[in-house]
Amino acid sequence: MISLSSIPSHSPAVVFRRINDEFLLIPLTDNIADMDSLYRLTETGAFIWELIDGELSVGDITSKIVEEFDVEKDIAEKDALNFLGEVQEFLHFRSCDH
Amino acid sequence: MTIDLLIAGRRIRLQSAEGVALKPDERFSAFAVPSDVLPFMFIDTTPYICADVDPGSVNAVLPFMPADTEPDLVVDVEPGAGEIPAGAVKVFDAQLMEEVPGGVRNSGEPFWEVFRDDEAVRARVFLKDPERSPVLEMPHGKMRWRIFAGILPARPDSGLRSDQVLRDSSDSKSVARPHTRPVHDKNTSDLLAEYTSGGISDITVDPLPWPLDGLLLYFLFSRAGDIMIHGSGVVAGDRGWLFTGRSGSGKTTLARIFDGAGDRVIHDDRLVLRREGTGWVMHSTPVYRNDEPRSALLDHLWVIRHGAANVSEPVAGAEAVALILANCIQQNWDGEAASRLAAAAEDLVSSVKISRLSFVPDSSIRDYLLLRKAEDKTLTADTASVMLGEQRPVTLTAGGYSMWPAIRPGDTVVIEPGGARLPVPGEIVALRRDGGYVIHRVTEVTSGEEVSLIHTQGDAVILEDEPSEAAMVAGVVKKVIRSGRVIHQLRRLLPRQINRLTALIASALCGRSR
Repeated sequence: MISLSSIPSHSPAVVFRRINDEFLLIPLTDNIADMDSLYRLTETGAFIWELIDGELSVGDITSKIVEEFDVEKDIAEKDALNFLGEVQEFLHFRSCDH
Repeated sequence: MTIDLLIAGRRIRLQSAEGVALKPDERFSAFAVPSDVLPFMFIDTTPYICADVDPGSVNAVLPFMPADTEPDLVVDVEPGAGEIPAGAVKVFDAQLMEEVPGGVRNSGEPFWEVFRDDEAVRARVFLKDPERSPVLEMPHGKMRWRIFAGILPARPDSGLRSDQVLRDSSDSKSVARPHTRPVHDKNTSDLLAEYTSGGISDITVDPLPWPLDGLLLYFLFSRAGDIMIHGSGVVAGDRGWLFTGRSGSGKTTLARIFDGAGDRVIHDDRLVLRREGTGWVMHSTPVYRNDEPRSALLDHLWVIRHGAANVSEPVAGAEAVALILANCIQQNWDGEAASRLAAAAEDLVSSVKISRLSFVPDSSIRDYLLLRKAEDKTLTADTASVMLGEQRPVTLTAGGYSMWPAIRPGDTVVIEPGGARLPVPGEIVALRRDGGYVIHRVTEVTSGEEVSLIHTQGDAVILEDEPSEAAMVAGVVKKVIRSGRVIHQLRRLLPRQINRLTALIASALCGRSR
């Protein structure tokens, strides 16, 4: 279960590519049957993806969304959790130590 | 024995030890080049279209440059079975994909697999002949690879003659059978010794049985930053065009249409795209028995699908990159290779026009695409202007959804000369723009002291156009012809938002009706 105290880090099983102001996630796979998936990220999704460093918690990331996009904190939390849930197969999570 | 193949401009040297003769399949014949003759000439990509590479000869008319006689890749071919080390990890598993009506189906049968350890990447393929499982060994960072042809040792009583070619019975489009025997672990010297001791002094090997050839080319081109892609490449009206898409999308159909019109087909199955100078060049690869090296500078790439009308819509940025990646030959187990391919696709998108194309599978698609090209479009527009100036009506084929539903893609639009009068709101006019015509509805006319401005907007477009001076109005659309029926009533009946929505639905349905 992803929570505000979760600390995400990128999985090596995906390649992230920025193309001008757009972003692609290219999942790595070991089977030819699974090679059709490509993900295009929204601006917010890409902002979150680029913040993921294995140090910042979801709560920290939410604070930065509030600063960057001038949105309410509860909306930012909801957006962040939704996005991380959608791409969780490309992430590792650990619990916050504090 | 040494054989040099020049494929998509890259020299591959196949070599074997004494006593092992190499005989690649017939589909490589036109790609074989002399390995010890210096001046093999590779035609440069300038001017616009490079000529076909004709091994051993030089076209003196076009500029040329000597190809590098140093191979890009050296492959030692050995007849024995390659060994997959116990510690190697299987990183990719490809099952045989079968073509079925409407697409492809995963048969579940093993086709080829890739292993990796600290020393090398190894690909093992499963041929129709279950006795053979060739292995391609690619040490990290080196361009000297090995192919183990996977041949069992022959005995004198096996009926194998000394001049017999050990070739898998599969051709390039046949179905592979699952491998049913373990990989043999004898090394080449042991095998050669057995052949020799068995009284056979020579053995002839097909070094690149299908699908091993495709794998070798994929790894070679992938490491070089090239793109291997499924598609049909043609040269039409002196421009290189590439049509890519899923199985069943119409690649071969398009190649036949252009071939039937006398255009040059570069290849209709598998091509290599490479950045060369300021542009991208598409190259043929050996797939079929009559293939030969062909190349052309790439001007436009379309991602195709069957549709009810011919409609080309440009795409750019991440969407274009994603479309290209979805149609490339790729093995996304390797993050570095995936990043390299994405970078190459991004570069391609930056210098080559990329569009989606819905098309009707007849000669009208060729006419449509030729007309869309700037020179032809200008010519058509000029001709139309002259005719309208002479007070004669002209007809054009509509290509977009901006006036949906009054004017639909594929409709024949009849433009009549407007004369000296100004159009009135509600009328549909043809405006001269960008060397062609934009056909939109007049929303307002503002008359000034010096100029009158015509305000226009598409029926399915939310935003107004930039106002045009009255002189830009080429004519007025009074009727359209749709499926042989003349339609005079061209009024806008519904709000633009609804038109926009139904146009999007129609566009999507058009794309699905393949």
